[in-house]
Amino acid sequence: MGGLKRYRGYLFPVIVLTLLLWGGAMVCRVNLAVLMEGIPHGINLIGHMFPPQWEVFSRLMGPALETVQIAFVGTVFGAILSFFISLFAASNLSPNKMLREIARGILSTERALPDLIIILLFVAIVGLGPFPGVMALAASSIGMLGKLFADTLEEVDPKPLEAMAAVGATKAQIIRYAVLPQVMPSFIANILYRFDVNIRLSIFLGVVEAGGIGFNLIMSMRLLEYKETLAAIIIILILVVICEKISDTFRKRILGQEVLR
Amino acid sequence: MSKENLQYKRYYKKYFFPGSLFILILGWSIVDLGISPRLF
Repeated sequence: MGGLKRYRGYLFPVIVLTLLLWGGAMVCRVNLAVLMEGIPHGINLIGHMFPPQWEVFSRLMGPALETVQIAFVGTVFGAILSFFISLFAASNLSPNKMLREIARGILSTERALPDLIIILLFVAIVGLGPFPGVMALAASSIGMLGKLFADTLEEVDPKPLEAMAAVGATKAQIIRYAVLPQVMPSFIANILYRFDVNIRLSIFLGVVEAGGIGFNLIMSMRLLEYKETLAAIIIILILVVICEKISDTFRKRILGQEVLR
Repeated sequence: MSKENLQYKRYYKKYFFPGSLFILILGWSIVDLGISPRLF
């Protein structure tokens, strides 16, 4: 009985959580019976996908490579833009408070917009093809990378900055020699993480015909060519795993530390 | 060898290969995707 008294403090949060879960399940009309009935249909669909159409592998290599290129270039452009915006968004480096608020506002607004909306916006502005895909990924990277960069910049040790300012260094020199060496490992880790995210987003670009293997995936599903769909899924899986391994290798080489598995 | 030379040699060893590979892949991707200043 004495043991149960220890858990008294958890009772109220558990009751609230249970009520919220139950209420959410009612609103979303969660129905386990429907799920169980639908499983055979799912298995039937997966059965139609086997064996994958191996002949299309060589044809899908080009779009797969395009997907990686779009993600890579989009990440680089996004990282460069994010870096410059973050210099204004960081409170210890921003020239004045108004510029800092504007920069933070831009980053918050961009993070609030769903990635799909940004992609559709660029497709409407510049048309179809890989270029709007690159710009969309760059723009969607700015919100996340800009905030992470700005937060990292605000946490730098101020002593080297003060020391350099005391001997007459310019702002650019302070950033180059005092700030960047402290923040570079964190920046690189964030950029590599964003590259992983952009690979997945780049696959989705094909849905809106902005280039890449996603287009082949969607078209094969619409044409009920499920064997080709599975081939595209296998290529996407291989692509994602290879890109993760490469980014882990570069992270270890540049940062010199074990990556969390 | 002076201290500055040793430091640059360390940076060179650490960053030369990944840096060159990065620039090569970026340049090739930009050309392959057909991104040019005219598009902007």
